[in-house]
Amino acid sequence: MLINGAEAISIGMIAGGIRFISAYPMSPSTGIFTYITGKARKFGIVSEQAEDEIAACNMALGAGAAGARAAVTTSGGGLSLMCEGISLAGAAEIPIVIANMQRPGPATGFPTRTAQEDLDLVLNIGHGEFPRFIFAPGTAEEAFYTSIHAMNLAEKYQVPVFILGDQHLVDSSITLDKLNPNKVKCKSYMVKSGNLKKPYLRYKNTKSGVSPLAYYGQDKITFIVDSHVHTEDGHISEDSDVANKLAEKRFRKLDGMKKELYGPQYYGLQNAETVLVSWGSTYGAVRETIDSLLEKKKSVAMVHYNKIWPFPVEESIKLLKSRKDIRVVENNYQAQFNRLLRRETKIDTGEPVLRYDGRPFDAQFIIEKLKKRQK
Amino acid sequence: MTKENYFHYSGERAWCPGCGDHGILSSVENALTNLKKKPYEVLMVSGIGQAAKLPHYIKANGFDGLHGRALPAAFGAKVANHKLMVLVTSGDGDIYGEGGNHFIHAIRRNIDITLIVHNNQIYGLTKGQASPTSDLGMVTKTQPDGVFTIPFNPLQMAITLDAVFVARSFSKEIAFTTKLIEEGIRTPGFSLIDVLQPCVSFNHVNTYKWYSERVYQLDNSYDPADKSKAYQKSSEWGDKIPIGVIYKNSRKTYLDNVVKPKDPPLIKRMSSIKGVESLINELY
Repeated sequence: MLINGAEAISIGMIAGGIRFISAYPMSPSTGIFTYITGKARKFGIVSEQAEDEIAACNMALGAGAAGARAAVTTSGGGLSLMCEGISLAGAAEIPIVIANMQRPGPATGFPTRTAQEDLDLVLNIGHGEFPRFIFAPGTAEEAFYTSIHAMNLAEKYQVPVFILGDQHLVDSSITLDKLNPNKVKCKSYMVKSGNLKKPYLRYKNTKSGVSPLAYYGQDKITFIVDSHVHTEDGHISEDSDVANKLAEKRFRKLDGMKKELYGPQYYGLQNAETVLVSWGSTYGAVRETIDSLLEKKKSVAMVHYNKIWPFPVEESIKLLKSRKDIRVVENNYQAQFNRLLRRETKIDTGEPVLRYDGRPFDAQFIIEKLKKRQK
Repeated sequence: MTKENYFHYSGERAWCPGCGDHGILSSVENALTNLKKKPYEVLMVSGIGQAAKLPHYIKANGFDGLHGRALPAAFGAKVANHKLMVLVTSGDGDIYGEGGNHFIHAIRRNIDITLIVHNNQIYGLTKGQASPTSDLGMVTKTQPDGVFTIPFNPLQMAITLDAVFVARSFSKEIAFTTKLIEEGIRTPGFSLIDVLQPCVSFNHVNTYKWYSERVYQLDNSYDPADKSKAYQKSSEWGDKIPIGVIYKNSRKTYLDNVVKPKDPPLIKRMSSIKGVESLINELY
């Protein structure tokens, strides 16, 4: 089969039970929005083109709060407008999937080219503090399964989940033997009618930090979803004890979130001296680089990151500690992932391989850069 | 015989004594009671502001989200579960200022929700700055030379966009406001009820006395189906201010276009593995 990243994410979201999608068209994310819209009627999905990204995000949050799996698609400029809405998802613990397909910025940048410049943005977007997931699939195949997971995890933990792709991922077509929609199951994490304990507390303070999730009117209950510091029943509070417990409850979710898929993947020589690190769409070019260098009997391997946040700290240290030369390959100027890796693992990395001209990497480009540095 | 009011919340309200919000809340409770609704069937959506605290002061489902963004959230919730009766209650700053763009497009979509704007012509929560509906000349701490920006006329905007139900009321007239809210809810599509509401703390111009001397109820001789007359009526402001149904119209609602009445709500629909397999097979 021939599939591009936009189709893979779209079909993954459908397999993951998406019921509502809202977006404002923006390259290079529009392909996902149009694909799902094209299948909406057949799959009982509602798709709405919003007046702006602020509306798109808040529509999805309204749908999510009411119990429908919802997602938005956008790119950096639109994501910037969704900032406050993402903070609301954090405060009100509303499931939402945000597919952000990167292009070079700042501002309008290169509208139809590729970049990985929004990593720092998605790590931090939304004022205040709240947990989130960030995934950066490397291929269309990985994007398909990751998107099903993303829809599940948003509901399971009631947090925003980012699928961080880019123009290179969504617009590149690859051939695959098959995709297996049974491999990752769409699973509901809502309370089943009959199991609902009354009085129902929307923000019940639990050990896992995750409160039972019901829909409005289920078994004749009422509840309020709220953006303030709130009590367990969702009402506004000024109490310091309530504020502390609420923040601690939200962040306890990280214990579970850290155990979710996917750890970094290792490829190449077991004890290689040089380890290239890819995240997101640089996977393909880095993998080709490794294959090419292995043929030349070089001591090389790669580590690929799909799950970016919560950062897989222990797995990273296990794979990367005491390596002679670690080089992150990424499509931005500031080496954003390189900085994140160093910050989270305290592991020293070598000079990263960067590209920020809107073009995707290829193996030759990476090998040239590596050679230059050896001189 | 008085019907039982299931919606009344007996806790404290962080509103000033005498605030017009109390009257609007009573009107909402009365309208829902008269329509024989149960709290679990109703969703109250708001943004941020004094008015936007209303969902906390009524027994019903609630969504208290972001300043200006009540309408998109209400849209999403209504689409997700069209069995819910969805009402939006927020202020003039929230709906006409911060959320002005959403106000326009919510009317265009004609989603079946009822918007009740607590219009006190001032920012109350932030202690007295001009709102989009403040009258020309009003002096505030942020408009020290008086407001010189032309006030926003929400009724004219709604009529221009062919909203299906456009009404104005005055918070003190609880029985009258109750009837308008009931009619707005019963009208399929997007209903706007702009309720003039004194802010006893920060608006010292548009007081109970000021409104009481000016508002008058439209009588049966007025035909709200006539768009050009409605447009004229909506521009009446100053010595006399009309209250009642200013404009009525009928067209398909958003959901008429996307959901069949017998369809299960989105929240009850499931994705099928077979369907996903068919999408994958299209790519071979």
